[in-house]
Amino acid sequence: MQSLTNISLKTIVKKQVKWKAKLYISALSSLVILQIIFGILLSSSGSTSGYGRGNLSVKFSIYSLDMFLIVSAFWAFIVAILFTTKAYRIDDLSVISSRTSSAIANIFVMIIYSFIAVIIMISTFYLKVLEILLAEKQSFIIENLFISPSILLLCFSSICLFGAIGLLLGTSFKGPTLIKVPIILLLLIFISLVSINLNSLMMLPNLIISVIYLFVSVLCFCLTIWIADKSEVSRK
Amino acid sequence: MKATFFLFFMPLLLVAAIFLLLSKLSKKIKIWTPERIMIGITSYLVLGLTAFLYISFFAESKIQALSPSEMKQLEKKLEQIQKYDLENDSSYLTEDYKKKTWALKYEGDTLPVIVNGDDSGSNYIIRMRYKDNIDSGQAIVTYYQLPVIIDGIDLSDKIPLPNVYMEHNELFIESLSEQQVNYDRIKPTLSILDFNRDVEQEPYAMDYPYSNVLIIDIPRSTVLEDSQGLVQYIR
Repeated sequence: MQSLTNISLKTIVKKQVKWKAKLYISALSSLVILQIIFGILLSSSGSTSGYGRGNLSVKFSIYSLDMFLIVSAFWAFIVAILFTTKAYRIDDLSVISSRTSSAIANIFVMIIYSFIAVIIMISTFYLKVLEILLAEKQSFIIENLFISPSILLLCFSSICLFGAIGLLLGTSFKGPTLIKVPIILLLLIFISLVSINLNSLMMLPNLIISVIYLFVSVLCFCLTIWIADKSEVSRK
Repeated sequence: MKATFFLFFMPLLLVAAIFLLLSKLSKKIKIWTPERIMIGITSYLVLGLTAFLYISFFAESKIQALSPSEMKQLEKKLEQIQKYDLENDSSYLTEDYKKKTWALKYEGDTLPVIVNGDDSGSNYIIRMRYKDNIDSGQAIVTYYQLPVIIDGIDLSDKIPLPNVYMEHNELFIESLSEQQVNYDRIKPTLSILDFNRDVEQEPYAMDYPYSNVLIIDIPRSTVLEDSQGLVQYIR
């Protein structure tokens, strides 16, 4: 007896997201290891500022979220590219999938992982604070212990953006040449535009920056799905 | 070029290497099952939460950073002090700011003052005041330390005191060697954003010239000799 059940894209994506989130869990453990290496063991402080006042020189070692965010963003970019590599595409064969459904599932996994990455990042930050507290009790200044929601949103959107760029880049590499070249050019133009206007971008409120980042991420995700859809016919 | 490589490409390579290694390990060695990895990550998050709870309940910073409103109030106060000094009025030097007093003896009616230091006296504001209740042949030098605010922290206690002494009937004022103070500041924000935004907002340091004041109290019969031109009269 043959089954002719037509499974909807939504069902396939749902199943794939569940399956992939579990399968790629080592990505998160690699983030934990990286955060420990860069955030706790290697980094002395995020930044330092020094002042001289007569015969007194003061050095402030500022421990902020910068290093943790940079590590997470790099991680998201690399992991997203790796998700689109052949080794991971072979895993897609284990479940019913198409390139489109696989791309959508990857996007959802990336979003979930970005959210978890923010929590891992915060966890590492507090562990670092505890380390400083135990080591430098006398010269310890807590300006604020709570991370503001706007900063959390900004961290999430930044990680998401890097993940989205990684997915787009990885997907466009396996797409048709007609799509590959314009996408890479578009990415280069976007990166150069951001670099030129970096100062004015940083002057904007956190919420606005987050909205811009999320908007660009959605744009990258949409392009990823579109490229995956176009690559469907050329599947080998 | 080498620095760029280490800063940019090394982390990228390390991320990829660790991720690939863990992926391979989780497939080959059965110890790294998804469930166990999940338990490991959850434990790490719980550890972070415990650290947060410990810091919020048991950690108390001995150094308090001033709020912007407190800094503005202090700034106004210090501006007033400047006005007093320009009018040669010493009434702003209250007991609260007094740090140390030296009672010194000399012979004769002249007291030469020599200020030694890397940049000759720029560390201190030195003022001379006549006092009726001081015996002849005696000088009282008082050091006043006014607030020194850097990055919202009052560092007045960290400023090294000058070395004041008499030698060959001359009063010597020496600034001590440079002192380095290190602080660890916990700021759960993004420094790169704060740094760029603060440039256009409030100043970080209140670098005020009237922070370290030395007052030399002498009897009216004494003439203070100041060849360096660093000592001014104050009422």
